[in-house]
Amino acid sequence: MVILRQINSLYQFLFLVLLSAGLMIIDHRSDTLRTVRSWASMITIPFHALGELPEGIAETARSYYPNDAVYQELEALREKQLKLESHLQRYDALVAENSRLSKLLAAARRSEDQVILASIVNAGLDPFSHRIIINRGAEAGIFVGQPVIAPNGVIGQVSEVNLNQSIVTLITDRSHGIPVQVQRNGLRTIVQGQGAADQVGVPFLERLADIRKGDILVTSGMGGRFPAGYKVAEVNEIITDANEAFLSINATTTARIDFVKQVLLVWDNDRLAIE
Amino acid sequence: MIPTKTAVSNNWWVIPGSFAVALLLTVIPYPDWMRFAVPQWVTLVLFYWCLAIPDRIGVGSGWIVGLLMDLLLHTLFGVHAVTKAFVAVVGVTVHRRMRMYHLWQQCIVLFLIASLEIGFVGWIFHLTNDVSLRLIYWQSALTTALVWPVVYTILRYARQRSGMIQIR
Repeated sequence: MVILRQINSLYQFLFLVLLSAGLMIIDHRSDTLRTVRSWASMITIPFHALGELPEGIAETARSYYPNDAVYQELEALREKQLKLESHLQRYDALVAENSRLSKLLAAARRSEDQVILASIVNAGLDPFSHRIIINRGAEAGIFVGQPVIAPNGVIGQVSEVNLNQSIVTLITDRSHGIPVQVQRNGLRTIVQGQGAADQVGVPFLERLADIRKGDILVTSGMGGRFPAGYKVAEVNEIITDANEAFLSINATTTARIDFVKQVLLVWDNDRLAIE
Repeated sequence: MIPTKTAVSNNWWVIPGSFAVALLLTVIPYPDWMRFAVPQWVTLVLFYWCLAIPDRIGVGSGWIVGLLMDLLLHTLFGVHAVTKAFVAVVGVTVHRRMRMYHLWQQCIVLFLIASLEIGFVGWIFHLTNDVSLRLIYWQSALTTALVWPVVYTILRYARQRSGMIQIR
């Protein structure tokens, strides 16, 4: 009987291997399972809620503090400051851009981008990819490919939208590339994730490219996904190897992704106006 | 030999409870330096139940827990499901031999299982997300093996307290 049971479980296993392989292929190749996932992700909410419990308790304790009104005002101001900072970070870039374009007198007037605030859900995903969960989803109008920024710079883009949470792929993920330009001189290139926290690479710049340590890389708006002018990274190391065609450049993300608690999701009004 | 079903007690929730705790330990955020060193909690719990009560917890349960894990970690459907089913099929097949082993010998077996598991998941990520395989990923197999005695002790205590005794 025991032997029989073992053979049974082997058959079961083989059957499940085939089933899983089918699921993986379907999930990878098509969007059929997306709705299933979107609904089934409701199951994950209690787990995330439990994971956030310690912090929630601290938060509640703080709100019972006598100066409740002051606390609420502080929260409101904090949120406001976050939004203002996000607008502000574009101004450095705009000033630089302005000085370049002033001669041309044809700089298009930019409108403010529309943003919405989201919190990062305190939960880990698989260790192989750099992704985070945020607490806004389809109900808030989030869409796949939407830029996600923190007060100090871009952190990634939405890669999966569920009912009321979304997955954000960070700019540090290996599969993520973002078109940027050097703020100082407008040199255009790409920033690629390297699978390391806070570190990104700039893979395709030739040896004679005008780039220095300390240069700030901002989004260039090429590709039409990220609006132009948001900070992305700061160059912190340039290695020149005579045998290599390209420079090996390491940059640090300007947003300290590990410490970010709240993020802003951006609707690019310039693009909306065009569409 | 007549296989006897494990005595079903009022404390049936010990099993789903232990899986829930393992899943919770999987999704809570860890500092970046231990990104790859987090033990495979679900594997540990699943393997324990496969050794202790193989007639109740087996391939099917492993697969379902793995599917739940795919949902929680937002990985491709089936990646963790198939690896957990693998853990379970090994557990069920070798449970008699494993019961004879010392704890440290069980640790070695778990190290091997977790290594294969990580290799498979890493390989799928390599195929789908262009992630390159690095030796550092296998840290988790080591930690999984190292925490096995602790998990084993806790779960055995929980099982005995809940009155789940296998007569075979």
